[in-house]
Amino acid sequence: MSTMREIRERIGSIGDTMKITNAMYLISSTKLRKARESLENTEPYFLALQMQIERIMRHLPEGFTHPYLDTRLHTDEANRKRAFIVVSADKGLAGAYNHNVLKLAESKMRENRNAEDKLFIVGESGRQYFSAKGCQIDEQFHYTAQNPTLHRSRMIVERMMTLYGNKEIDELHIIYTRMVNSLTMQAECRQLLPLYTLNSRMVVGADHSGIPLEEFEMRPSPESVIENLIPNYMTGFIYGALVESFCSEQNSRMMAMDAANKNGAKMKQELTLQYNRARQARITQEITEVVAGARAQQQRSDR
Amino acid sequence: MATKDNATFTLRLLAANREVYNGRAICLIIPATDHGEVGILAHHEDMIVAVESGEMDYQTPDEKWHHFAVSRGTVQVANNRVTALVLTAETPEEIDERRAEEAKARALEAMRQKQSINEYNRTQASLARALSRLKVKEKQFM
Repeated sequence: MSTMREIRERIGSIGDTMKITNAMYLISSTKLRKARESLENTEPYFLALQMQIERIMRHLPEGFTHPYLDTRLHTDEANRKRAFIVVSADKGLAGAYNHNVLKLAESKMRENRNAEDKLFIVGESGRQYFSAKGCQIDEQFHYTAQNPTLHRSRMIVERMMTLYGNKEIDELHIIYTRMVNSLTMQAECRQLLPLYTLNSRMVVGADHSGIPLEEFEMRPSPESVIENLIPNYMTGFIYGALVESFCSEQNSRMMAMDAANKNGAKMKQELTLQYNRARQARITQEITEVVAGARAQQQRSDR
Repeated sequence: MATKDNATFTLRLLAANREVYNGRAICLIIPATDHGEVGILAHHEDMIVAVESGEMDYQTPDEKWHHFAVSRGTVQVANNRVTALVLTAETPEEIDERRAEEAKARALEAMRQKQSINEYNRTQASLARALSRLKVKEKQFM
């Protein structure tokens, strides 16, 4: 009976697929843990860094200007050149993860604008999505979403700060996915530049009344101190966003694979039942045939 | 260089991925951006220094020197407390000599070619990193 063989083959193929989904589940969970750990290791550094920058901001001379600290308040809101870093995954099979990020990116870009938006995309699936849509994406910005490293975020920041310093971009946003808890992930958009949008205390000449001022000598100059600090600070944020996204991706994949495993088990169970029925039916039929045959023989010999 | 009475200050050396040192120190020498080194002893005047990638050394109260290859960052001195924030800090044991040699050769090779200012700055930075790694590595067996 061919249906029995078919069912057996399907059970086999479901079993093979389940092996893959199960492996992907396990891989995702270790990757998630590793990325989390490396993010936690960087926390003391970036906290200290933030405090130091805030302190320096209080001690900058009156009327100090630096390209990195420019507030862009002189430019008209609708004419500001915006840049978006969109963090997507390298591949699919992660539930709605990619879809949510891309949808948010699209809705942000659709806001009424005169100036053109620049797109910097991390991850292959986002790149493919936007290039298929005919959006202008930066070709040289080619980073993977896999295993985020500090080095990668530093390269990204270096590029962004150069663009910002040259006034090629006026605003920088990052669209990433945050893990609210182990069950919910949320796509978010956060503005990183100009700097005061990230931290309102990071502006020259802000109100510091009530905070005692010390005498600080900045060597060799306030400019070079700022030049060293600000990119490192931004690196922290980008790295955090990359790790959060990576964790969310792995978590979504874990959930997707878990669902796939459950569906697979259910299908396998149903098919096994069908297979057993078919087998039972075949045995019954064979017995009937044998019995009928024997009876026919008997009747012939009786005659 | 170590003072006989061993006046110390609190030193906190933080790299982006770990806390390298948190405790008392006698002396700290850092590579400064104006192409020189800055030495810090106890009760130094309050200041903030921009750190260039290079070699950073500090001496612990047992008069032992510790050497690190660091990348860009800052050092803040306030009330006899020194906070050094650098992106990376590597001990001589952690540095892969062959890799640093290769990076140096690569950077030198790239320097000979025509480059944009941006590329030039980047190669120069990676050359500086490779050189400071090699310099720190040499101290491993000293």
